[in-house]
Amino acid sequence: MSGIYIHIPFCKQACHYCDFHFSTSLKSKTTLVNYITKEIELRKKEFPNNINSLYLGGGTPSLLTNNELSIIFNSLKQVIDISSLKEVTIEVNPEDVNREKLNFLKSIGVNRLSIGVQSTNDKVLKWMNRIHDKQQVLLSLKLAKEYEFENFSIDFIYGTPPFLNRDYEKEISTLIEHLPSHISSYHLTIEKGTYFGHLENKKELENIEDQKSEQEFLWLSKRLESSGYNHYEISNFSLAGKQSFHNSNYWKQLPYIGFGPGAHSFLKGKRRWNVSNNAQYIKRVGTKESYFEDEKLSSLDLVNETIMLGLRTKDGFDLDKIYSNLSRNKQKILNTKIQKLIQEDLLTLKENNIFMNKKKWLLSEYAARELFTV
Amino acid sequence: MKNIRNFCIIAHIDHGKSTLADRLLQSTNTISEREMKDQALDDMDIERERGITIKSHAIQMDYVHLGQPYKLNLIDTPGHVDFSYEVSRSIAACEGALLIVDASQGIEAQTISNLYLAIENDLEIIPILNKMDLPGAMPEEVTDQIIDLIGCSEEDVIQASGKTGLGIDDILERIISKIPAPKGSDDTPLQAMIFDSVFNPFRGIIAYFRVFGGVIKKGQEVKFFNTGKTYHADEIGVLKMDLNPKNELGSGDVGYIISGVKKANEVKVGDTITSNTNPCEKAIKGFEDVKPMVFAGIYPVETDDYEELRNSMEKLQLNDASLVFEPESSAALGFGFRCGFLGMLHMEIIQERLEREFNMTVITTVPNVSYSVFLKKDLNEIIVNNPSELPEPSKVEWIEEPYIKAQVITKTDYVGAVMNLCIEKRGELSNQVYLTQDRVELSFQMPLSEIVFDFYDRLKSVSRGYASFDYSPTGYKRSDLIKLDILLNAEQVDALSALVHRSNAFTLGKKICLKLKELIPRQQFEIPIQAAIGAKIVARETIKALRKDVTAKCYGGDITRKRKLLEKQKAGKKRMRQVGRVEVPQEAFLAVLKLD
Ligand SMILES: Nc1nc2c(ncn2[C@@H]2O[C@H](COP(=O)(O)OP(=O)(O)OP(=O)(O)O)[C@@H](O)[C@H]2O)c(=O)[nH]1
Ligand code: SF4
Ligand SMILES: [Mg+2]
Repeated sequence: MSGIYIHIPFCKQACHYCDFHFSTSLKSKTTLVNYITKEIELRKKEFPNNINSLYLGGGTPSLLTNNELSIIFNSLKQVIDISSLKEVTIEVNPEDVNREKLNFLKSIGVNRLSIGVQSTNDKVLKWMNRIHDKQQVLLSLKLAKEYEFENFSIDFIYGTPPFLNRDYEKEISTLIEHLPSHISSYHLTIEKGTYFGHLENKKELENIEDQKSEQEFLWLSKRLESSGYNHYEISNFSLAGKQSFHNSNYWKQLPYIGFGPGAHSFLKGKRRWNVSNNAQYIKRVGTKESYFEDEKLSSLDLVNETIMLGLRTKDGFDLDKIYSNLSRNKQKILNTKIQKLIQEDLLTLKENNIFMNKKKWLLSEYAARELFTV
Repeated sequence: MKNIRNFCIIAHIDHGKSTLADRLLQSTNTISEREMKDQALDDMDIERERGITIKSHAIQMDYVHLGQPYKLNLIDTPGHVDFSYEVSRSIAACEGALLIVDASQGIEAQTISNLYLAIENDLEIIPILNKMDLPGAMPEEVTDQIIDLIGCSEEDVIQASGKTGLGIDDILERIISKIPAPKGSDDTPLQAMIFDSVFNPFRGIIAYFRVFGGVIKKGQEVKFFNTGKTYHADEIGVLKMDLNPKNELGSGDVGYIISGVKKANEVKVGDTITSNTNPCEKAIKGFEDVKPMVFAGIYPVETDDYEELRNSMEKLQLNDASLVFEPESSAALGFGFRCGFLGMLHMEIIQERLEREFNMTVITTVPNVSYSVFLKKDLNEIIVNNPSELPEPSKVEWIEEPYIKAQVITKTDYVGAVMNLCIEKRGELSNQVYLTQDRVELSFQMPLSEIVFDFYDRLKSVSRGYASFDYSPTGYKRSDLIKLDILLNAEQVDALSALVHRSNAFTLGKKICLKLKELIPRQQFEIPIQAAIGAKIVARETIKALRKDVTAKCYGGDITRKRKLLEKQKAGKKRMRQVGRVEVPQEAFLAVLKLD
């Protein structure tokens, strides 16, 4: 299986935590969409086989006009049959969701929405500099249902500073009333270069203690599992059969091709990333200058990624698969490390699969570092 | 022989000795355009990387003056106080010295100490006002300082710039007219002094010497006066950019000898080379052994690497005879070596060279000075180079610690701040001299151990960089010292113990705990850090347990970046040492040196 990713690098305003690549100046939106189609055209021959998913992410893809969406979809149709894809996802912000928009999305073949909810608490939303409020969240969820998006996902953020005094039970129960098929629940990360990063530098941001993070994480996991959601990746939950194909492709190291500024691809063992600057992207794609960089991954790089990604998923990674890429000596070293982490109660080994214990799941990068082979 | 001139370049650190040497090498065509690079004589990796000279470098230049060919033997010396013994040795091979002063900085501490070394050895001093190209140059003021210091006239001070080449011809002319030709005669028995030696992996030990009398010939039997050993002079020659073999060298010459010596300790710098068949009567007065000032343990991060570490240290010693070490063991760190260094920079350099040239990852423990401990029983004196070897306090009558004479040159504006710092460091002002209206030289008596702990950085910050520092040992004095121990996770870590003055123990204990808390990464369990004097806990901090070590998202674009970050962090962990259950990073052991 494999996927297509399209990056739409525009947002109306910057959320205080976000370090994705986007611009808040929408002037060049149509131009950029045209250049994305140019990139698609240029890379026609590079599309991987067995594509099962198309994903429009951002930024805020729901800022695209119907016309701009058509331009992209028409261009893709020259290369693939969109109607045959299992999953066609678009990220939308609640304030952009309306009947007219959903109608159009359905008509062009979108079958999955990923709604950037983050919270149902107006104070929290405001603090994060989100545009929408609780009312708009509820409306967007209602419409998603009404328009029979069987498959829709919501993004949720926890791990926020204690002063916000959130009632997670209230927020979660309000949300799952609308039966989203998928929930991505992210711990707030303070990134350099964001407004929150700036506050943290000035020591003006209350930080959350590890213990509290762990508590919230374990509570969310239990709460959502008791409502029928499968906690299949450290930050992702789904109803039966509704795991995201797209994200699972990433975690399984399957190929993907990415278009647009800052988009990444993973094809034939090579990672490549486009320049993450809208003006540069337009200029370079236009003049066919090099607009990307790439890097070939060694077999040990791949082993490390398998470990790192595997430990983030519930199923973990297949030990045999790793061993087959390692020398005797490295196998031995890895095995001792695994034993040590099993003893520390971080890992479980079951039928040749290694996975993180739920209770210690938040230490998965610690474990990954320990197990890395170089 | 009257056409030989031997001179060295001396100055305070960074005043431009090596850069000026570049210009001299260039204008005498000693170095080709192709070989030319900044500070060409600084050929060790670590010198190039840090931009400082660590070892003296000798080189011969040919120069024609008024139709006469001359041989000019130049020795570039280091400016840093840790390496002042290199300056003394170089001076012993010369009749003259270029005293360089940075025109934008003026006279500083090592300007004076190195000048005195040269004067004691009767060297002819040629004062040079360097970096004249800098906009901040203060020629009148600094010339006055120089005149005051050496009692020359204004015309004697040559204005120069190693950057633009200003004054280079003047300097060469002055070297010939002012510096006396070497005395001595080719007709007396051979008498040559070894002033330096280096190790070459292919050729063994190469000794640099200066002939004071007689002639040395390739292939002759030579005797090293002090060690009494005889050798065959396999190769002799002069030092150009490369070794330049000759058949003979006469009185006044500077050259090198390769004689099959493999071990560094067979060649004693300061020894006299003479002829085996026709020996001279007396040796030339040599040098005192360089004494280490600072001691610290060096341990392999991986305990298995002990033997390899010993090998590497032995090899390093071939290149740097000032490094001394002997095996020791630590409860916390296992087997390692107690090493003696010339100072803190020397210690840093040794650690870096072990890592860079020998690929050894090591832990350096808290450094200390050498203490004299007098026992109650018989007032017997024992030397303690490692705090954890201090006998039980009940058995100790008193402890003495090394003192130094410290000299600080600073601007009048900072005199107050510098004095406060030195007094805080248990210093006593012994002299205060105004060099000019706004430059003061302060002398203190103070414990050497106080400059080991966080002195240079503090001095720099209280003086906003306008202070230079020099010191020399003056002997031992009785002190009220106690041992401060550090416990990690309730276990005492001997490698973190320090002997401190009783009056500082509490504040120091507190600061060390805080610093360790900052440096030791959180682990899966809570780690108490305590400072103790005997059984009494005087400070405590706690490192909270690690419960979260993961970022929320990891999608397409994050994967490579994330993996690389984790790999990098993992590489950083290689520098951690397991102490009991706790993983302690390398820099934590030196934490006590950099307390705020
Ligand atoms: N502008 C200017 N800079 C100079 C001059 N001479 C040296 N420098 C700079 O001063 C710094 C120190 O120069 P070095 O020649 O390494 O000084 P040094 O005295 O040999 O230093 P140590 O051997 O470490 O004591 C370097 O950055 C040089 O580029 C000069 O005449 N003019
Ligand atoms: S979180 Fe989404 S909407 Fe907010 S700035 Fe980032 S990409 Fe834009
Ligand atoms: Mg130098």
